[in-house]
Amino acid sequence: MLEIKDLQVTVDGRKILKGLSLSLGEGEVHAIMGPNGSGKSTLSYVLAGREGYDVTGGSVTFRGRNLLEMPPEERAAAGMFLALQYPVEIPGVTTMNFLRTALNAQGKARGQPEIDAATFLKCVREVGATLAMTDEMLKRAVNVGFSGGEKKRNEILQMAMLKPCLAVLDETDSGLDIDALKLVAKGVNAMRAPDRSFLVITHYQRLLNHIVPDRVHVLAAGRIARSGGAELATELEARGYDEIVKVTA
Amino acid sequence: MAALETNVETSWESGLAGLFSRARGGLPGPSWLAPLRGEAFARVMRDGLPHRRVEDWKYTDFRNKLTSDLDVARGAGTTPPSIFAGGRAHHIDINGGRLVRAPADDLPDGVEVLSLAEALGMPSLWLRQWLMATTNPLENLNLAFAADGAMIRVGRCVRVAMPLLLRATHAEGSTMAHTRSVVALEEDAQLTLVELDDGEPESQSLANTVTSIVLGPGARLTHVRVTATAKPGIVVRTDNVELARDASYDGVMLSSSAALARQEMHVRLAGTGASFNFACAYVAGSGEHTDYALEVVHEAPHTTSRILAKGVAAGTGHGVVQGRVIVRPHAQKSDSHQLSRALLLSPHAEIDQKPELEIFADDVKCGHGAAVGALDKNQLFYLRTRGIPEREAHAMLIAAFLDEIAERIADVAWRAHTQAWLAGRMAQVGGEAA
Repeated sequence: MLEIKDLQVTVDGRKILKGLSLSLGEGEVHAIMGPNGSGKSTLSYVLAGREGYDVTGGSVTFRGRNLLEMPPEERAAAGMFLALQYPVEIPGVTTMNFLRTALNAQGKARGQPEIDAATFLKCVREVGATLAMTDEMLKRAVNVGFSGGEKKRNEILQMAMLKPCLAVLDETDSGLDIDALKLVAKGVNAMRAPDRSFLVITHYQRLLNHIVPDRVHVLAAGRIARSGGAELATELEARGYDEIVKVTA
Repeated sequence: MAALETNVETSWESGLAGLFSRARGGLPGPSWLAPLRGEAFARVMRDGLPHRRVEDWKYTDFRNKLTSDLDVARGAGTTPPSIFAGGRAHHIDINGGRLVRAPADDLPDGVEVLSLAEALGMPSLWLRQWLMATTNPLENLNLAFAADGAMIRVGRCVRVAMPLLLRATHAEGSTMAHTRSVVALEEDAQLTLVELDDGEPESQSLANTVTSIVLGPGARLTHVRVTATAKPGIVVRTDNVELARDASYDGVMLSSSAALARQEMHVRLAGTGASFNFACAYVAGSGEHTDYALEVVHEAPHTTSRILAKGVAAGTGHGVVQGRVIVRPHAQKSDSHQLSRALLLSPHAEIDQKPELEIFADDVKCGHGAAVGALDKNQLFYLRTRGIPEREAHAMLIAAFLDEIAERIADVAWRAHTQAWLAGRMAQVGGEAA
């Protein structure tokens, strides 16, 4: 699904990723954990195609295609989704309109017909209900006046509607209370499928109690310092990043 | 508008004299009007046409925009389909400055619509107050040439249920049309007036309209104006609005696509409790210049004014918003606010915003704000990560920005018409932005 090889990225002249390699297979869930400043968010932004991130070396292959050559919208149409750490507010654009435009834009890029209004409405309401998002919230401007938890739930709603084959969740657990965390985890688990992979970026093990990963990678100083099974997350929680990273170094 | 020192006469100005002497004999009106026209024209020749050295025209060079000789419009030429086709309304059509269609049987009791040409043939002195030379060169030019217009009167306590649609089309290239209209609402009358300026002239044309709006005590006017005349058309409008006690004016104006669209508005809040609520939006693409110049005078206590302007300039587009609010000494408890926000989408586009306050009373609440920015990069990235192509994302964000204005149109059908037109304009201009 996703093959990252020796990825090197510079932001504002500073080297952030220094040779990161990672292989994510079909249907797998990998977690990336790491201390502040280790390059977790940089990785997610590079994967989504944000401006200002200079790839100075390495490669990223997504389903056989060179991901780095594609503009963000093309990556999305190819099945890639990023749940942002800080979802953006868009005054004047309702969540409904936003979702429908996105769905149709992706469909158009894949040569699919437009989704009709009634089917869309039914679908968005159903998915919204599983995430405790009311009609009123869906009719409001995207993320405007939403609490931190509501914004994260809105990200999961978008993921569920857009049905990507690769979802990158960038600290989707940050700022969530325990109930919201469970809702979000439930939403993600419901989507796990043999042809869908997840890259879950997080600070804490907490989320991984609910979304059990196949692999856990520890990112430190711009590269993967250690990889292991789900138990690595528990070990990290008990011993802290410092010790784990020191052992590897 | 102060009289201005004329420097060198442009060829357009020198050609005007011949045009006026040929046209004046054919202009309608009783004997008292001819000298007034002559006086107005003499003032135009003396003062010259507005240019950038005149403070009120600081950002809009009207005089030098007029590059070709223009004949007097005859109202000929094909009329393009209205962008408001199918909207429910009492229709009034003006073509090339001539009233060509007025609502007849379907007008409710207490509403009167006359053509100015027709009214000038009646023995009425009532008209005289709308036909005076002023210090404004465009009003004077209008008075010199105006042959027609719509005189709309809504009687006391009459509430007109359906909007009145006044469509002014100017499709005839190389001509100028001068229209003079009056909208008078008597005590406690209510009206929704929708105005549309359109036409696709093949060569430069000038539509110069002067409208007097008089709102009696407690009268309420809801005013929507869309200026959609295509390039290379030039549209200049002067509105003189007077509000009596507790009268209210609610206006939404939108403009895009003309080579020059200038809306100059002079508002007098003459009666206690009068309120003026104005919102405008503009989209200026390459080769387009749009200008809103408002002057609101609080003359009476407890008067309110609100101005909200939102605009977008792309390509080589130019947007101007000037708002001057004056509070007279005894207009205590006046409450005024103006806000102007704009998006600058290209390094060659220009936005000028000039709010001014002149306060001569001590117990008032007045505020203003202005901001210019670019599209938000985070928002663009967010939309694109969801699969929305860059160009479409641009258009979406611009629409979201301007929608605050269009959303103020209370009538659902008219709002939808307006939004569709604006979306079409944005799709065009959004391409210039990318």
